[in-house]
Order: sequence, then structure tokens, then C-alpha cells
Amino acid sequence: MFLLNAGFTDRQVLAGLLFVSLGCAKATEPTFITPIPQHMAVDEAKAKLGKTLFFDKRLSTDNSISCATCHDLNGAFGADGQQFSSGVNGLQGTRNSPTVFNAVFNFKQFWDGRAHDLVEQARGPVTNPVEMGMATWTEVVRKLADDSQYVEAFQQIYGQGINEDLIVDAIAEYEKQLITPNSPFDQFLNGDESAITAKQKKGYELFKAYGCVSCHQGKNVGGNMFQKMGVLKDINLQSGSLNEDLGRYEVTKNEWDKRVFKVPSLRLAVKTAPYFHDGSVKTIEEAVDIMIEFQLGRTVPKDDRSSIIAFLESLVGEIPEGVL
Amino acid sequence: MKPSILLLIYLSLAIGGAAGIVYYQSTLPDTEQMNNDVSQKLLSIDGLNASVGELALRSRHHIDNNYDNLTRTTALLEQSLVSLEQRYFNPEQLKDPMLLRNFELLNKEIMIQNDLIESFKSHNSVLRNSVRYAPAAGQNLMQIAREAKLIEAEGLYAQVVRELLEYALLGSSLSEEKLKIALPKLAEIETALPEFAQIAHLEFTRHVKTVLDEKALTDQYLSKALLTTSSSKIQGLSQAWNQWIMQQSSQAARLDQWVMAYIAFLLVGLGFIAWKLRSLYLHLDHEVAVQTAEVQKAFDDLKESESKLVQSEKMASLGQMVAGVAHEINTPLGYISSNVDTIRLNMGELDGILQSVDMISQEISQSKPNTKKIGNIVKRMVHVYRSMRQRETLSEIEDLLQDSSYGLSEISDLVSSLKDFSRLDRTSVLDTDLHQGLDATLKICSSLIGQRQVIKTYGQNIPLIECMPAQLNQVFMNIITNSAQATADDGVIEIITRATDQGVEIEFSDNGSGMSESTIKQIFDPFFTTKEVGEGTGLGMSISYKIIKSHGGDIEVNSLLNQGTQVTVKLPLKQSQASLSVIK
Repeated sequence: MFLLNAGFTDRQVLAGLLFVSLGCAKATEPTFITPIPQHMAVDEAKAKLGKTLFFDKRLSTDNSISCATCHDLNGAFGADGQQFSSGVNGLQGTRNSPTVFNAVFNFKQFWDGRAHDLVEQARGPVTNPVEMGMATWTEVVRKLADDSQYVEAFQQIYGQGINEDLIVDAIAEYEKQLITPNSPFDQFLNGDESAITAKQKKGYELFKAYGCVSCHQGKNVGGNMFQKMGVLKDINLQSGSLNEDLGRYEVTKNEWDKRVFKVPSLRLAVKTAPYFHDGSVKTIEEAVDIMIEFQLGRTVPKDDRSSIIAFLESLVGEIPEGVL
Repeated sequence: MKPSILLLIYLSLAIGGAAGIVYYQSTLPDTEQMNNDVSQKLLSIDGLNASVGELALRSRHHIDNNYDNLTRTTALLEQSLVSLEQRYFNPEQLKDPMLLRNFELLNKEIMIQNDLIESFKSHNSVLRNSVRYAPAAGQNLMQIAREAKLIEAEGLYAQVVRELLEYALLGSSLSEEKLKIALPKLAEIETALPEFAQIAHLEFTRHVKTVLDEKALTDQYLSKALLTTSSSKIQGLSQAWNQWIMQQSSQAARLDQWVMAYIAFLLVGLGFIAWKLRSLYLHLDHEVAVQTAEVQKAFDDLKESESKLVQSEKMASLGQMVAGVAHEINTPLGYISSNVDTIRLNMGELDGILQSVDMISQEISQSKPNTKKIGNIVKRMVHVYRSMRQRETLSEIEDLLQDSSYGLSEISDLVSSLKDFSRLDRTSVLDTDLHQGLDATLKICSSLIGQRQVIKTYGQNIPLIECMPAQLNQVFMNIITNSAQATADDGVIEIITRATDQGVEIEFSDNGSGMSESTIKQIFDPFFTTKEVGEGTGLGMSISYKIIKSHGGDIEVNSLLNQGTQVTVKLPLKQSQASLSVIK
């Protein structure tokens, strides 16, 4: 199990470590970021039903809010461009709506990672008083059961009557389809050197050099770990409100989880302002500045920042046909 | 106790036992399939758990440059545990606290391990960033110091970078100590630096501090994660599981024993029932034999008494017939006897004449006949004869003899009828003239008929009928007797015969008292009679019915109360083979 027991000697390991850490690896470019798949295998029937549910405002208490209200798939890349989304009766939450695109690749859901997967996530907003505001799932089921088409569809697809588990399962199945493959950077990763511009290429190098890639890695460029806000510089020194939310601490009550959040995916970062858990940062430039200052303990010149942002733009993929 | 209650109890026990076994079996899991599945899942969890450690190490040592694999594996591990819990290790399904506790221990351990891995990931990223950046920043500062002729500072930067790399990459605790000592020195040289380099210096210092802090934390979290006892917990769970499976198998074996016991119980019960049934049947056979014997005896008795009754009916008929015949014979006998007496009286006078003739003959044969004596004898003889002639004695004798002769012929006729009626000389089935039988019967019944008018309307060309004439005559006598008894002294009895397609129809009608509906219904029932006790046996019509039916014929009765009765007898020309045997 242990690496050292698996045929490596101390010296070999040390040599390898030196090799990598000193950035001398040219022949074997380390895989920080990997492309996302072209499409996700889903149960088409369930996904179709899930799509109907995703857009159905009857999931909210006053029939005003659907999933798509805060996760606008058409204009806003799966988010809504607001700092805080407005739920039923104009009530507002306390955290920024993340994009639903590529959420399937996130290791956990919600900013504080309190949901393990999309299914668990989908249970949350419907009965959240400041989101869709339904009193109970029983009520949701009763409401949907008034629609004979739903009753028929659930019966046909799941072989049973409507219930909470099936509703969230269908929605999650649909959300699996919401991915953005074929980004220029993915094409670049797949060997097409010309897919990205020189500036974007430089931006990628800077992204690695500044250390952004330490956390924003993997196929979702983030979304596979937790990190503390302000690891190299106390976030209390930030002029905004980023220090106010205790993040994962609210879930675990572990002291070390204070201001810890899920590292968000950067795949649609340039399209889904405002930024951070409380949506308090309006521009990508500001967001990059804050990240480099508080997370990486550096300052970033405007040129570098602009290259990095150019790189981030190369991460924006295509919305697959037929899912909207 | 009644056998039926015993049977009920037995059945209840049998059903209860079966239900119990089925229920017990339903509480037993399908251990084989379960065992395979759980073992496989535990194996896969063990594998995933090992992978987590390996992948964490790969990340720690930058062999993996993203956490996707590690994250996917920890997620899989969690999912496996969740599915294992849902499928098998939930308190609703699994009642074994030991096993549940073992699973809970493993689950908790994996959760702790995964939390440690998450912390490791976070710190490892930070550490990695600083380890990567700090040497470059240090070299940059060395350059600045060199240019500013700050040899001490340059040396310090170089030392810090060297120690930092040594510490970060080799984990030397000596380097750690040296770094910790160098940190305050770094703070001291800050003021000597050119102003533009101060920010870079602060950044460098921060990253060096970060390496110091984060390396300790990263390694701490990683080693804690690697040193969790999850692996032994998996083994613990495996062992507990195997133990539990063995326990289940022994329970299954126990169930087998119960099933065997149950089958034995069923067999014993069945044997008992079979034995019970057998004795019941034996008893029944005996009972049936006894009953049959009784019934047979009753039947025999009945048959005997029936034949006795039939016999007595015959005797009654015979008596009646004899009475009639006696009366018929008595009348001519009476007057014949008186005629003979009268003739005997008159014969005395004739005797005197004959004696006189004898005396005359003696006198004449004398040598010297006494003429005077002869004359006297002749005179007395003539006197007697004249007296006889005067009294018409001779013609009276003639009349009496003629009368007596008639009487004797009457008797002869009767005897002949009697012979015809009884046909004692003929017991076989014969082609018979029914009119002869009817006439003979009427003759025999003539005393009973008395003054009643008998109208005989015999049809032309009535064919001979194959029958037992004596039996049919008995039927006729029964009907005629009934008619005579039912009618007034001046009543009318009509007998019509006619030929039909099938044979012959004989219709007896009278203008007698008739019968009610209910009487007609019972008329052929044995022992049914409307006559006074002693007057009829109640078998006449019943026997008549039997006789006609045995001849393949039919007998119908129509009657109106106080109007009269009509009895129609239909007889076929020939007898079937079956009928012949019945008749005989």
C-alpha cells in the first residue's frame, strides 16, 4: 500500500520529488487539469423527466421559483448573476448561487460541501424557506400528483408513484447532462496546440506558477477539495465581507473548518460573476487579486492577471446540444 | 374426545408448525448470496481504503498533480459504506449488535480518515504552493541582497532556501530547527533591505513560515490518515461477519432440524389418522354387515309375509268364489232333491200297480186261473191308475225329472265355469280368449252380482291374447267384485272389450259410489282399502296392478265420486321375453 513498499527506494522517491518540485519536468508535463468528458451517460427518460421538474415552478410554494430561476441555463451559465438569489416572497439567501453546470464533477455540493451529491443537493432548496419555500416534501408530492402527466411519467419510468426520492433522482439525472465540454483549453489538453492563444497559454503557465493550480486542479479546475479562505494572509484584513461566513464550520463545528469552503470550479468562472461564497466581489479581476493575495501570499501584476483571466476564458466550454 | 376435534387440533398444529417454520425461515437471510455480496463489498472497501492511502501519498509527493483520483476514491469508499449500510448493516435488517457495532466502528473510522484526507488535501496544496514559490522568491532576494552588497542577508537567504528545501523534501528535523532559528534573523534583516524589496521579503518570510507550519500539518494529517485503524476495522468487521454467517448457518441447520421434526410430526399424525380411519372402516364394515343382515332379514320377512298375504288374498278370493259357487250349486241341488223326494213318493203308487201286474201274471200261470181274482186285481189296478191319472202324477214325475235334469245341467255349467276360471289344468302361458275368462268370472261372481244388470259389449274379432288366464281372471274378479260391492243392488256393470293397435282393451264401468281423488291415488297401494275390516285384504288392486304390469299391460282407473268408476285394462297381444319370465 505504501509507496515506499511498492518498489521505490528512498533515493528514487527523493529524486522524483526534486525533479517535480523544482519545475524541471519538461518531457512529462504534470497533469494538473484534465478535460471533461464529451457527454455523461444518463437514463434519458429520467433525465427528460428531471428536466421538466427542473423548470417546474410548482416545486415552490407560490409557484414562482423553479430550479432554473437561480440556475439560469440559458443566459447566465447555470447561475443567476446576482449576489444572492431571490427566493419565494423576495426572500434572499446568504450565499451566492453557484452554477449548476459541471456540478456533477464537484466532489461535494453547496459551498460548505454539506451535500454529498446532486441527489442530496436537490433535496435542499425545495423546502428551504428562503428559496422555494415548500413546507414539506409531502406537500410537493401532493402538488405534483395533481398533474396526471407526472403521475403517469413517474409510474412509467420508476414503476411507482411520485415521491421525494424519485423527484430528486430525476432532477439529479438531468443535472448530470449539464456539462460544458470542448472548451479551448480541453482541446489544447487533447493536443490541439492552436486551440488557445499565446496569452492564454501564458496565463496557464502563470496559473501554475502563482500556485492557483495547487487547489484549482482536476477536471473541474477545482471542486475536489476544501480550502480555507486566507491561508497565507488573514482574511480579516480583506476590506470586504469575506471573513463573515464561517463556511464548513457551520456543518462540522470543527475549529479548523472555520472559513473553509469547497474550492469552486473555475470552468465557468469568467461567466458567473459575482464571486466567492457571498458574491461580494463583482469582477473577475478583483477575484483573481484576492485569491493571489490571500491564498497564495503574492501580489500579481496587471499583465499577469490579465493573462490568467485569458486562460480562465479558455476554460469555457460548450453546452451540449439538446440538454436545454 | 371426538375424532373430529382431535383432527382439528392436529390440523391446527400442522398448519401452525408450517407457518412457524416459514416465518422462521423468512427471518433467516439468504446467507449464501449475502455472504458473497458482503464479502465482495468488504474486499472492495479494503482495496479502496488501500488506494486512498496510496493516492494520498502520491499527492503528497506530487506524483499526482490533481486530487481527482484521490477524491473519487474517497467518495467511492464512502458510497460503498453507505450502500453496505443500506443493504445489510442497518438495524432494521440486522439484529446483531456485535456486527452493527463493528460496522459503526469502521464507518466512523473511515469518516475520520476521510476528514483527515480532506484536511491533508487542503494543507498539502498550501504547502506545495509555498515550497514551490519560496525558493524562487529566496533566489530573487539573494540577487537583490547581492546587488545591495548585503552579504549577510544574501547568506541568510541562501541558508534559508537550502534548509527549507531540505526540510520540505527530506523532512529533516535538523533543518526544521535551523529554519526556526533563521526566522527571527530574517525579521532582523528586513530593515536593511531596499524599500522595493521589502514586500518581496515579507512574502518570502510568510512562505517560509507557511512551509514550516504547513509541512508539519500536512504530514501530521497524512500520517494520521495513514495510521488510522480502518484496515484493521475492516478486518474486524470481516471476522465479525464470518462469525455471524457461521451463526446463521447453524441457525439454518437448526431450521433443518425443525423441518425434520415437523415432517416426523406430520408422518406420525398421518399414521395415526390412517390407523384411526382403518379401525373406523373395520367398525363400519362390521356395522354394515350387521345392518345388511338385519335388512336382509326384514326383507325376507317382508317377502314371506307378502307371499303369505298374497296367499291369503288368494284364499280370500277362493273363499269368496267357493261361497258363490256353493250358493249357485245349492239352488239346483235343493230343487233336485225335493223333486227326487216327490218322485220317490209317487213311485209307491207305481209300485202297487207293478205288484198287481205280478199277481196277475202268477194267477195266469196257474192251471186254473182264478178269473174273479184276476178281475178284482185288474179292477184295483185300474182304480189306482185312474186315480194317478186324475192327480196327473205321471206328468208331474215327468216334469220333475225334466226339472232335475235342468238343475243338473246348471251344476255342470258351473263346474265347467269354475274350471275355466281357475284353469287349474293349465299353468303355462297360452293364447287365450278373454271373453271366455270374463264369462267364467261373471258366472262365478253371479251370486255377488245378484240383481245388478251386467251389460256385455264384446267387440268383434277380439284376438287371442298371450297370457296366464288364471292370473287375468283373478284381475277380472277383483274389478268385478269391487264394482258389485260399490254399486247398489240394482246397479249397472258394463264390460266393453275392443281390439286396439297394440292388443286388447277391456273397460269395466259401473254407476257405483265412485272414489275421491286421494283414494284413486292410493288404489294400487298394498293394504289400502276402503272396505270394512275383514271384507278386503287391501291387496286386490295391488296384485291386479302387478299382474297387468307383469303382462306388459297397463291398468287405469277413472272415477267420479257418487257417479261411478271406470277401470281400463290394456293388454298386449304378445309377451316379451322379459315379461314371460316375470309372469312365470
